[in-house]
Amino acid sequence: MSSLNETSSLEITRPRPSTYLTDAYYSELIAWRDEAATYGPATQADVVAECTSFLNYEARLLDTRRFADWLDLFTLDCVYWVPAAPDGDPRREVTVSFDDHRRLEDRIIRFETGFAHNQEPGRRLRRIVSNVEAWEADDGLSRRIMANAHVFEARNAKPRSEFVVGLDYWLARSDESSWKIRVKRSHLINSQDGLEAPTFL
Amino acid sequence: MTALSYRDLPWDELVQDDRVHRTVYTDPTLFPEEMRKLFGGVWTYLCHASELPEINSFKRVRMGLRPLIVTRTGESEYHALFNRCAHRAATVCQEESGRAKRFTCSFHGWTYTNDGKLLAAAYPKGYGEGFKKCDHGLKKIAQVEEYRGFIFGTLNPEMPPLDEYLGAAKDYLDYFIDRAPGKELIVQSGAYRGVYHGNWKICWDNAADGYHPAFGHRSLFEMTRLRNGGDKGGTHFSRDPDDSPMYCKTFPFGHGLLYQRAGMGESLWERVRPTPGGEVLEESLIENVGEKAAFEALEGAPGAGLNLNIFPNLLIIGNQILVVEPLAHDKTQLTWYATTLLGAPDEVNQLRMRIAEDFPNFGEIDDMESFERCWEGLQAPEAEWIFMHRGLQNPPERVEGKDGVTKVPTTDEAPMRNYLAYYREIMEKEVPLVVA
Repeated sequence: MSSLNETSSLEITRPRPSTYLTDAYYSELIAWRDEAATYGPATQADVVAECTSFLNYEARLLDTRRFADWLDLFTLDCVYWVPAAPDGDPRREVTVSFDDHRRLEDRIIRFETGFAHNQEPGRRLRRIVSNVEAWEADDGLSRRIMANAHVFEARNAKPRSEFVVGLDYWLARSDESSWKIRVKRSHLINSQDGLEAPTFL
Repeated sequence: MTALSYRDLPWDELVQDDRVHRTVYTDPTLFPEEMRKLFGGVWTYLCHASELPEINSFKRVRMGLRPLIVTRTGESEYHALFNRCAHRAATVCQEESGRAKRFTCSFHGWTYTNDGKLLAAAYPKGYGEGFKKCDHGLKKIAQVEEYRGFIFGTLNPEMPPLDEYLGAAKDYLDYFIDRAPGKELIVQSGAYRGVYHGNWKICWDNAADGYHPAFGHRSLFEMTRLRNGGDKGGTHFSRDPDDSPMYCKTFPFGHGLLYQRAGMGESLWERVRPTPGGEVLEESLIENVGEKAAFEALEGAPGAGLNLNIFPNLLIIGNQILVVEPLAHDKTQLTWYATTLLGAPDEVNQLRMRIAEDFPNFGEIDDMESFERCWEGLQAPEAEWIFMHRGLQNPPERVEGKDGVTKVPTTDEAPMRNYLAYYREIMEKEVPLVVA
């Protein structure tokens, strides 16, 4: 039987140039965020079921520290966004995290150096994901998922950390039957409070 | 015999030239004294003028544990009011910031002007004729002064003027601010807040510590080496930092400096780790203003290459303002305010946001882990001392023309000794604390 923490490692490569975070990309992102309020109940049961399964799989990859496999769920033009303020424009405001694909790779490679004191020895991660709602766009090319997560992180001899986040995903169709995350926005309910260095939310 | 409380030893034994007693960190009964006498007894950073952009702007802050509202009532007229109703102590302001001419207590309706005067107590006839509104205003910090936008307050009428308190540390604050083409810093871009379980002074011990980076931040340097190579990131710490042109300085009143800039070569922009959107913004800037002007402007995006510590709660680090906010003797919040430069191109100020997110996510988290490891280690009462004698054997170099300023090698622990000596000076005497 496998241990609690599986491993998956990322090939160490020179980073690719990051050319997609244009002004238009930011504008699109903010428009997408603000559209959330316009969504009614999710009625496509098959979409909800598929997305629930997707989120559970993503949660398992994070909880077992298979970060390289987790990164495979993302498109190459992705953003992992943890806002500090609920309605801020990340062009003008600092966030907790606003990572492009390259910075996500940096994070994972830092963990894998073995000298990330904050991650050693092995933080244990678990999260409960619930309240899943999901919608597929009419053109069938994108999906939106909203959900809640309660994330626990445990370290030896340290207090356990807990984070409560509202999750919002923009999935892009990858092929006939699979999807990738273009945007993951994890909004902490206490994003303005002092945070105990979350691993990934 | 093992001292278990700071009261078991006189101050000159608690804080010595070469070591400091663990109870100065661990004794929970010392914490309220520090929050009262230090945070308020010396000039304490409150907020930045640009956070109060208009007349009638306000912002909630703390001075030690005192909840305050800093208000602006004129062009450069600031007040630091206790956020505490004069009646039964409820806070009268709940919003973090905003605009208000008046603050009304939600409990019994007492209403105050934004300079702290009591405007009205509800149903006044119940108080009889002897009730004087002027006796029941919000308490306020008697001395509030500003240096180039940085607003400080003190309750201690014996403190020298702020200008003298900052002293020669102003040279480096000026350097940080003057990177803005318009010579002003703007603090309107939110903040990242971290918290660690441990005493606030553990962070101060590290604030100008050039000894720890190669070890404490090894994961970051290793990742940068593997990914980027060359001179990116913190490579200036990878060999013995005392053999580099970097240095530390100590200033009167406990201020300190780690000047990394001297070891960082010509261009700061060239040393920045790859940043989300970096290439796009660089290209856009070159297109808009040409290559030469673009690269000049981009020098303003990264941190200034200094760690400047203004005792007791303000650190200038990276391109940010870090405010140390002790919450309890064993819990400390670190608030990293992002800043922008007046007159800099939008691309540069946007880059400052993504660069500001780098160190808290990749470096400070390991610092906070180190602080928590210190805190766990400090729970052993019989191991009584924390040592800070690195470099003590060498007479410090006096900086000519700057009273009381010394210059020491990068890994020297003089900045720690220096702030703790001033800390002791305040803690061992009575400090007059007067509210207006």
